[in-house]
Amino acid sequence: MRRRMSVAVGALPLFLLSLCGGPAHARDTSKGREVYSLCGACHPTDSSNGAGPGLAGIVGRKAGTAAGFRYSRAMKSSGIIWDDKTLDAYIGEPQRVIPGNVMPFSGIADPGARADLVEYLKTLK
Amino acid sequence: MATTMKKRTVVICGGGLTAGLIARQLTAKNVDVLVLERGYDHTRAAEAKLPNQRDELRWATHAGLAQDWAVQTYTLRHGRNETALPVRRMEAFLPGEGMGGAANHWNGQTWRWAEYDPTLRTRLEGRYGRKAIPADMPIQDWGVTYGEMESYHDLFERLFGIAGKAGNLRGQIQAGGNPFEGPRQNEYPQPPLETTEAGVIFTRAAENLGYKPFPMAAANSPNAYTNPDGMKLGQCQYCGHCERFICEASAKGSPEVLLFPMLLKRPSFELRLRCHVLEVEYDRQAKRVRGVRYVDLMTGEEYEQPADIVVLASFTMSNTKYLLMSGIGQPYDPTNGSGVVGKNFCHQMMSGVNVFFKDRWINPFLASGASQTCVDEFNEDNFDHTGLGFFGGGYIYSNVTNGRPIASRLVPPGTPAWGSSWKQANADWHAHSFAITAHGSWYPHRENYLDLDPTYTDAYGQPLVRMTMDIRDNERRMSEYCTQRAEEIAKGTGATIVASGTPRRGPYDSRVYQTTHVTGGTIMGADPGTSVVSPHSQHWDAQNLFVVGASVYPFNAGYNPTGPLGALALRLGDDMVRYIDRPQIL
Repeated sequence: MRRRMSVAVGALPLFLLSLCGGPAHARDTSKGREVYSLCGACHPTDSSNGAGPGLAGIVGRKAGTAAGFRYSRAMKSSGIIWDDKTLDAYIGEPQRVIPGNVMPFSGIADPGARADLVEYLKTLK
Repeated sequence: MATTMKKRTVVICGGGLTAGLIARQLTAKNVDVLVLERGYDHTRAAEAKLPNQRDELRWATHAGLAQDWAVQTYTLRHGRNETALPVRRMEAFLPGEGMGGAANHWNGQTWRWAEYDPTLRTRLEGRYGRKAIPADMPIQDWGVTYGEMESYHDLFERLFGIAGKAGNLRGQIQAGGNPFEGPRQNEYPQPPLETTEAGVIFTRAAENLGYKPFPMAAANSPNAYTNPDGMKLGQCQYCGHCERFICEASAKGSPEVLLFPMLLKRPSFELRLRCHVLEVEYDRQAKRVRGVRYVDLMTGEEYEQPADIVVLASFTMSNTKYLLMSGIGQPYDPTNGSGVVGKNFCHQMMSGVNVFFKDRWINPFLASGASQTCVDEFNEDNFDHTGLGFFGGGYIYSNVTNGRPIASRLVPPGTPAWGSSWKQANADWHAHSFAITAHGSWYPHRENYLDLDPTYTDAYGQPLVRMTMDIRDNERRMSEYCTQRAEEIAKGTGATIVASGTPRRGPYDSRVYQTTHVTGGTIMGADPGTSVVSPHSQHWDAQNLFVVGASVYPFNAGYNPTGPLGALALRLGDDMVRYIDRPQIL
């Protein structure tokens, strides 16, 4: 978890991927998958819900709207749309970004690890 | 009139830790398993989610996840000449209700018992002479050795992601671990939790006295962890809400997280919730059980559930109760020491000393259930008892598991019990204090036992289990001795205030917390004359009945009971696979 990559650069390959439409061009998300192990006990990678909501389609989704999951009022009323920037900020300091949310996680301090994770989250459809 | 259900291969009474582990072994071989559990599924209910999870009054003070005492309680008396009365408010132990049982709300303190514990009688007689063990202390060997259990300990630790530091790797003593532990094949699957400030202080004081402090092994996961079954634990947040709570971060090794979600996907497994088992149906002539009778708590209807094999996997007293209610095995009689069911009922002895530091921030609210630092020099037979007048002992540790506002406020001696100086003392010392505690053993006494109460009944009309129980001389002396050792460490911490040690003296009081570990009643051993179950947990008087849990321990060690509980349950699962192939006395 040492890598630093700006969010903007990180977003580009995904854009290309969506143009080319083939996994052969996918950027390496194995680091992000590794970081995701911190989340995996609660968050499924599909649209089912665990102790936390399923993360399929998380990027681009409005916060607090996964079907069938009971969110805190703080999360539901946050008005946040999950993108590179908001995900990075929230994963960094969950309670600062959405005070009163009930995800029992203190955050990931390493910005590189967060960027890797966000890249991985983008692959969850 | 009870409805008769379709016959099943294995029926397990109680859906807790041991049931989950046995079912894991059995269903892996496609054996048909039905678990009957009186409680419901807590997963993602209020008790498992923020903010309600943090409700100390509801889950801790009122023990919201434990047995409902208005439905079923126990009676207590201190001696055979007294009349026992029902316990209405329980602190001494917390039988769980619901899928996962008490191991959902445990602290996560995970010990293998000492290498000599399964052969304790042999050990003590060998060291102190054949006559050294008093006649009223019916300690006995288990009929199984540590070596036979080691691989199951190892498996349990990997399944539950236990965090710790090995002290004895294949016979080599390891720096930083417990030098008194039995030889392990492998290091713990996870590194230890963070050391708390209390642990730092304790470590220095203990080392100055020549002891070897080490981190307690913990089922509170320091990292995200995936076990050999692919089941996942989250990362511990050190929130101090472990014991009496369900971990909302899925970071505590518990059956609700690691076992039942997996089992429920296996085709040969069924869990029936809200089903309270009333008794086991026993064919005395054939010396076999036919099944169980239970009540569906949602409808009040009774069912007969035939089974090839029955496993009693309920809380300690319930296992004894089922045997007594069903007339299986000879009840223990303390007047002449005959009989076995109900024998060797034991608890544990906690005592200690509080320390207060004006300039150190202990911050007890930043802790997990097992983020503690221990020394094992004074546990059980880790030291020479010659001339001491007692057997047993305990580990001594920096006892910080939480800083919860109702239960966990230490104030210096002499503080009034209410009013503004009490408030001031709380404000001054809450973040600056902790207890150095001895977690002590309890060896059996001839007059400590369980039977059925002649007067009081539960909500189903069945007699309550009666505890005849007191703290006897052996345990008092042990508590004196261990408390003095804790005091010596406390005085070496440089604390601003060191309170006096408070050894347990009795009388036994079920309203007082002193670990929640009760053992015995259906004890194991190699001799059918002195034990209820064989070394393979098989009932001597019904070969298709197995009993598992702390009720099979012939005594209670100075260690927390969960480690051997897990190992014995996994081993029983494998034994039962063999039994199904070839039914016989194992």
